[in-house]
Amino acid sequence: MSESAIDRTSRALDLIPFITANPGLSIDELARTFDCPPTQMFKDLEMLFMCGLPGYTHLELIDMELGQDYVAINNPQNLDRPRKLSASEVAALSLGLDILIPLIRDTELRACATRLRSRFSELLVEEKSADIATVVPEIVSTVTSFDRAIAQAIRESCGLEISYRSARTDQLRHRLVYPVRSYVERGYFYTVAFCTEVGEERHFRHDRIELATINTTPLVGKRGPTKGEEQDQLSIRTILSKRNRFFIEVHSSIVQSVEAHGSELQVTFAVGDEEWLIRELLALPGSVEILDPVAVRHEYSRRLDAILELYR
Amino acid sequence: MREGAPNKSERLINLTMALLSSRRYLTKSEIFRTVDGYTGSAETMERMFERDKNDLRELGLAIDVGSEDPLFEDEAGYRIDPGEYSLDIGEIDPTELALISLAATRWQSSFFSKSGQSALRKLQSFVGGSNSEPLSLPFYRPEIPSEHFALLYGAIKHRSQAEFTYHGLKDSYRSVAPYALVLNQGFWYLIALDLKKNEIRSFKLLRIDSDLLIDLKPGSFVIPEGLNPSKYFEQKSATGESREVKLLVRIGRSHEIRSISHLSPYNDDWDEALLSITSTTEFFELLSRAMSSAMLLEPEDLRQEFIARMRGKIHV
Repeated sequence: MSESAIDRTSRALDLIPFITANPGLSIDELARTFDCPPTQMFKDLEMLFMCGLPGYTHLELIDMELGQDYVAINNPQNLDRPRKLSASEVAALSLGLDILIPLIRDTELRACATRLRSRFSELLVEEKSADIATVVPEIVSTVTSFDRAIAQAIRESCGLEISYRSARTDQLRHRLVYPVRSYVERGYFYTVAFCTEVGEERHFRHDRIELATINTTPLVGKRGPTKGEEQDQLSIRTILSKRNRFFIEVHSSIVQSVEAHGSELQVTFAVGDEEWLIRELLALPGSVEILDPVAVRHEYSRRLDAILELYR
Repeated sequence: MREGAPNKSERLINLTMALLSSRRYLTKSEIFRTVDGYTGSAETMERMFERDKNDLRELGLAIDVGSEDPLFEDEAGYRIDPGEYSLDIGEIDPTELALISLAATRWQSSFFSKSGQSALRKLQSFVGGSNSEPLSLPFYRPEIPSEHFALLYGAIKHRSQAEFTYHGLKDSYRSVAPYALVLNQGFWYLIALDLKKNEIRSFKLLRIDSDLLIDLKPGSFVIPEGLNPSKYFEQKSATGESREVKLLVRIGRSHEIRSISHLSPYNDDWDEALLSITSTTEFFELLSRAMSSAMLLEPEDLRQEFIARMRGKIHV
């Protein structure tokens, strides 16, 4: 579908101050920045070449240097400053900052982000419609004493010796790992690290680390893939109460199929680690049945019986 | 003036520049005479100008209408106040620009992605430099706002009612007055007045069926003053009073429970663990994950509740 004149005008009005502030970019770079084809960017620039103030002599037109690899504006006339942010632009930045702030552990950076958010709040007062969407601040797990060591290990690509409580196996193990990156999920900080013990990448929740010290021994040999990437996936067919719909939503990446049957859902999971899934299914409220594989069904029943046996 | 008629975008830019540059109101006849792109009969130019004015307003430009001497009935004139046109947000340093860049790129391929990117470009124009300090923050991406999000955003903006099938414990058809969209714990929710129940409810967007319909009639309701959608979630997630619980945990096992308990030896196989809990749901999840490595002793009501919960998992 062809672009509307309004969209093209909007882009062109933003192009002039952008090029004025960032001279010397190529047409391809500008096209990437403004998310349009290079041919369209060239047409926009050609058009702007012909725009100006009434009179339209060379003194009143926008003065531009236009080459394939170099674009600069010598005289933007009165379009040197960017337009005000629209309501949806303010909303996008404000909500983005709301999401970021709880993730920032550095006190100074966090304060900087909070001040920035307040400045956008002042703009929000003018743009009422931006109030439509809001963010409840994510409650992220507290800072652990090992966060600094983990960050250093990622930054300097060095090793980390950790004592880790595995929720999967319920064991406290000592490992040498090489952290790669951190992420946040459901309010918890995790680090993906190459584990020398198993020879592949594993995910470690920060609050389950009981000890962490930097180890400067360089990692030798090839790093393996993330668990699950090459491992065979096991399909586990289950019947869950609809109360457990949230579990499917949170773990959508391992859900193969969902079918509603009355008050229940038939859900097929694809997992590389049935041990984890069994523990998670035991933790869910309401009825849970594993249909197949039979071996997993029996293992689930055996563990459920073992729990109930404690209370007989 | 150049030869050939300029295209519409070119005319809109010329009009913007003319209205911005004028210190006084420009009358239509002055605009037609001086701004490049207005050609044809008086009627044609009049229609062109009316459409152009609307288009510029759609772009968010505030066009003032007035006359030089309000005491006399002069022809109405037009101008754009440069102060109203330009972005003015004060100084932005490289760290702030890096934060803005991260904030703007939270929205890949979603409702806000276009707005986020255009905001970032404006701010990069404002500070004079697209290079910012690289920041390393943990990766976190909440649910991407869906097509439903865009429709409901519009419905709230225009105060239009909405109807949809909601997949809760039981599927049900809801008619609502939508008030706000809230991102909570990584998922988007709609806060709306359920018109049948006459109560404000939250609806997870993922559970709204594809049959979502938005009433075309705008202005159907008023959002209550003082409604704080975030507060609504804070209240909902507020935990109850704390309770003390006593458990037995197998020696060498139940590390998750051990890490938050006060422990003392019980016998050769078990330790006694005392801990304080504020959420029964979260505690039962913790206890279930420990499987047969932990046993709840007290209080009795919680013990019975846990036994019933585990018995309820047996599928008949």
